[in-house]
Amino acid sequence: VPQPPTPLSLGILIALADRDRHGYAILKEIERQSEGRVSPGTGTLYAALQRLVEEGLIAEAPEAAEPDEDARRRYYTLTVDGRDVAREESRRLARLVEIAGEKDLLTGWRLAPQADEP
Amino acid sequence: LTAGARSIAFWRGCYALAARALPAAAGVEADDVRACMEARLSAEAGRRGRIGLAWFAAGEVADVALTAVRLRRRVRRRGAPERKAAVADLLWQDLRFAWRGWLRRPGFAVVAVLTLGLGIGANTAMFSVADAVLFRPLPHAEPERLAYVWSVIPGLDWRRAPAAYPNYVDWRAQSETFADLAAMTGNTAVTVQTERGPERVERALVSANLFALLGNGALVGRTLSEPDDAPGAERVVVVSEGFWRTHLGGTAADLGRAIRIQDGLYTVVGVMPASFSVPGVDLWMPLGPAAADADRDLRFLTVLGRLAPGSTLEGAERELNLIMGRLEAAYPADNEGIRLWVEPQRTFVVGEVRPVLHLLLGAVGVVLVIACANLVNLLLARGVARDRELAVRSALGAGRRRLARQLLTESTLLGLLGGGVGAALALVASGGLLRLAPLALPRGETVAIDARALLFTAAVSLGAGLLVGIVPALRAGTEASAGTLRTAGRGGMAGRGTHRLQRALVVAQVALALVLLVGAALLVGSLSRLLSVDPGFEPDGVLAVHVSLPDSRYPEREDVGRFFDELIGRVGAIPGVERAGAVWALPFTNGWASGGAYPEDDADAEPVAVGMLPVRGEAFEALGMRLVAGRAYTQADLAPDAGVVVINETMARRFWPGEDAVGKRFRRGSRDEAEARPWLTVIGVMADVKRASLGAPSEAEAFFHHAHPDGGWASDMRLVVRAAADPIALASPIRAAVRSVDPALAVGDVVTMPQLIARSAAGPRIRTLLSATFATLAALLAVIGIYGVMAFAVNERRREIGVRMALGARRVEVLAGVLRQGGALVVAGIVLGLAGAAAATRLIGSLLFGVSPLDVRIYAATAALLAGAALAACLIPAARAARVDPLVALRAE
Repeated sequence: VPQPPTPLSLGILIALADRDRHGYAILKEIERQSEGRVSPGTGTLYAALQRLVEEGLIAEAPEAAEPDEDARRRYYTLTVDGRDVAREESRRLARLVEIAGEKDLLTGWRLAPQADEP
Repeated sequence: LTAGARSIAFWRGCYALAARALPAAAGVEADDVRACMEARLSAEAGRRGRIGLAWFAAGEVADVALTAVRLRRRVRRRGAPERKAAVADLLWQDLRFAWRGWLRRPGFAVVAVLTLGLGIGANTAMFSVADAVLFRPLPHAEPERLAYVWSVIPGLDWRRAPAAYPNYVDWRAQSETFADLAAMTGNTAVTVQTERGPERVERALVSANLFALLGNGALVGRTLSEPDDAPGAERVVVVSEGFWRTHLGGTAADLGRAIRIQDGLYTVVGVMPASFSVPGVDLWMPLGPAAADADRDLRFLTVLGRLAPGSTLEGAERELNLIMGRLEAAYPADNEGIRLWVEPQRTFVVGEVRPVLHLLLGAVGVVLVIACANLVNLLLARGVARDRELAVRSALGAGRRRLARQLLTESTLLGLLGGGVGAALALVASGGLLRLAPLALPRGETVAIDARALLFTAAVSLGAGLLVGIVPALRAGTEASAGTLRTAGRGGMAGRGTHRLQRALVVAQVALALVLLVGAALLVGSLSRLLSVDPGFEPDGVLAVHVSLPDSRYPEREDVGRFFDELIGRVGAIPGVERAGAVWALPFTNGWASGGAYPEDDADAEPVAVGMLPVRGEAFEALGMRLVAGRAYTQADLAPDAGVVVINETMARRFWPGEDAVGKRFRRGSRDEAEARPWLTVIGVMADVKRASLGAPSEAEAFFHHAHPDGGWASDMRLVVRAAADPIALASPIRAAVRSVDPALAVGDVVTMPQLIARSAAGPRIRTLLSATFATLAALLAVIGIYGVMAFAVNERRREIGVRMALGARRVEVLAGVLRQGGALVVAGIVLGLAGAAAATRLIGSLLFGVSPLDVRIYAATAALLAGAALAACLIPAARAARVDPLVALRAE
């Protein structure tokens, strides 16, 4: 039975969901997602990346997605399994949030900012 | 470079180092990690100050380093297969496994650890005593080469008689087997004038070479050296560390100070460390001036020598006797018939207590053996109960060796925990031991539960843990086979071999415990006999204080006499004092002096040694001594030529057996008419008083009146006072009385007679205390042991008992059956134990007082006590067996 991904692993999977990224870029993306509240150390990040590679949820990208990026760096890409795990986990979390909302835990808080509101 | 750039360069260096620690095998690309770190660093550098940046960067370095450690461990666990990884990891696994098992059933672990803790704690305490007294070398250089030279003087029943100064000088000059010889006097109390007023301090006069001979240096300053001994040398003194700290201020600047000792000023030249411990002595002064003109018949020196390289004790003894032969020829009057013998210093210091300590070490070893036997039984019982668990693990692929090792790990851990508990118990319980040891044992003041004792504890714990684990571990290899899985039994069944072993252990435990109990009971019996011995006087309510007068201010016998009459008069007037007097030799202190004497009516009698003990005032009445015949002194007897004396029963019996001694005459000194002293008439006979100890036989004693010329100089007396009520309340008025007669005098400690008697019995008391403690522990452990085995047996046979009851057996029969089974073990143990005790108590024959080593009543009483306790322990499982509900027992099927 596969374990649910840790918050950091899930953060990595989500960071890679839209495009391949190198380590630093993944980190920046995680910080952006969490509004700066999650900022793992570089060692921790790479250990997590390595574990995800070993579990087959992400893989090294064959080549840099954008040629102007630093070719020295290793890029990571989401595997099919990784995308499944990320989707599963996100849905589970979404359902949890829904339930939390039904129990009035989210009063005064919106899921996504709505820019067009007055 | 700007400051910012410099710190960025610094951190990049650190990053490079940290990244290099990452293991290549883990699959993490170090360059990649570095690139990421640097990118973050540049981004952060724009946002933080230098300190903030340092905080961030240091965190990064730590994070990478920790990751490196974690990855390495991961690589090791996965990569390098088995073997090396195995040992540490499996050990850890075993320990965790054992721990979890204990948490599930804490009762087992608690009992096991406590059992071992009691056994090991007793051993720790005993070791600390034996180590301090026996095992540690004496605190001198090459102590095995040090030896005392003792004289044996004809007509004097004294194995270790002292030597005369001129003889010592000749030995020293002529001996080649001794590298050097030194001489010292016994301790005497002297008065030292301190800032707090006069105080009494123990001092010894020593030849100046003593310290060099022993190889002990001063803590501060210097020791004595040869020039200090020369006549006319400056008067110097070496003080103990304790005296230096309490009386002199304890700084190096206090060297060179002059202190007033008796009537002379002495310069302090050195301080001996506390480890150079001659208990009680605080001042060492050169012998020289005192000894320079001492006669060859004044024997007052203890002689200690250091053997020359290559010479032996026997050789040294032979050579000294040759030298003594020559001295005998040269000075026949003083040296006639004197023989010398050489005794190793160690034998002299601890020889007497060595056999006792060896016995106690043996006893405490037996306690540990019994504790271990208990633990083996516990582990066996638990092993049987765990057979299913072990069999399952075995079926799942755990090898026999793996299972055996698991059990060994567990027992070793138990041993170490037991050792910890034991050390704690020893520390907590050692208070009484540490208080008694200095009084009862030579070097006893060095007894401590220290690093050596704890190291011993650790070794014993480890050994005991491994030892008790071996049997169950071997068993795990055989009995706990896959066959167990097939049997339906709930807790599993022990094989025949296991049962036999368990019973043999219980029998042995009971037997050993009985041996110790009998031994301890004999010692307790001896002690109570000893303490109920009649000391020959009434110690309750008596207190004594040492008063010593300096010769310079009390030069004549009359001066001394006037002082003591005045003092006794003033003390006698203190309210609450019933009687007051003074004696030179107080019972249960070391003071005793003897001289030769012979009766008038036996023409051939050789002079025999008789104690010459001056008394003054109402000394007999104050001590509560009993007059057996005649009368005590009256005022009329005090004239110097009165020629009357009071003696004790032993002297009366020895001089005039079967006759009335009152009115008989005797004379001091030799038969040579030319030297003859006047005849003395016996006017009274006192009941014998115990002197050195309650157990020792009485000597012949003559109680000269202090004013009598034969009564000795005796400027050194003990005031004895009988109090109407609490004697301690009189201590300060008595001190005040002494000061009122002579303000410059130091007053010694005020002691009560019962205190002195208790102190004299400290040796028997400590060995009785220890052996009784050990025996009680042994008995307790043996009883727990038999309880454990019987409880296990009943538990194992529940089904069988259930079947029997279903078939009509009555509860009483079941109860009796279990008791019979336990009783057989107890009886076997008791029989073996009685035989063992009869054989072993011969070893303690010399320690017994008024009790036979084969005292039937003590044997019977202890055997009955142990048997009763053991059977009571069997009663609990027996009752449980009788309560078995056949339905429940059978349904468990």
